[in-house]
Amino acid sequence: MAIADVLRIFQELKRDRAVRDYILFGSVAAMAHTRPFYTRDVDIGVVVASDKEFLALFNRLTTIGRVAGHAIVIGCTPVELFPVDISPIIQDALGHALRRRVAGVFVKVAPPEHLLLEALRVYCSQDKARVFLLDDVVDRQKLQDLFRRLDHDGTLRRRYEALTGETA
Amino acid sequence: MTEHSGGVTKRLLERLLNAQRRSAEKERKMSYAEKLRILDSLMEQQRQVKMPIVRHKREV
Repeated sequence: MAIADVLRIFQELKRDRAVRDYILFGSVAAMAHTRPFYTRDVDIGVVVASDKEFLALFNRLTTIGRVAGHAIVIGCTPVELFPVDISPIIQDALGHALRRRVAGVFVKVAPPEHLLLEALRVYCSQDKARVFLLDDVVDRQKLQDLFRRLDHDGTLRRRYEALTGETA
Repeated sequence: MTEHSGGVTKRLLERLLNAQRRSAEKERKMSYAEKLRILDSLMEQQRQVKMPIVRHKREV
């Protein structure tokens, strides 16, 4: 079972109202804007109204796949599931998501500017590397707007400048 | 940079870098579905590395 099959499953879950909405995030989303590269899992942010709804979705997915570490392995594809409100950046991305067609399924993908900001928020080594990839494709104006709206204490801007040597 | 650097001419280096830039741009412009198929195969390769097939010696 490939990534496209996972996306088909999520489309069905949305149709069944098991999930209100979902958005691709992290490396797999970054690939919509950059060259393809290896990553361990597919990050999917889901819109749920409560812990109960999230748990129900998680449990339903475990009937399709199996839990391994932080991921649910569906077929051969590890999927990391998280509620979108885990981060204000991901939540904001949902309203600005791009639509991409994969094997007949339209999926919401986070824009590169949101992905760059979220990578700066998480700031692990893998995320730092992604900042450089995304920095080549972001719209500078949109990035500045995001810094203004979502980086209230300037931490992300400082990280960006330290990492890239550029002024945000 | 000197005209020759460790036996590699400046012109060859420029040609290689240009080819690399073109290939990067071509990959970036691939459809998302195509990129995900590439990722599928990269994940598969990684699984093969992680779980090598162990062949036990047949006892005589």
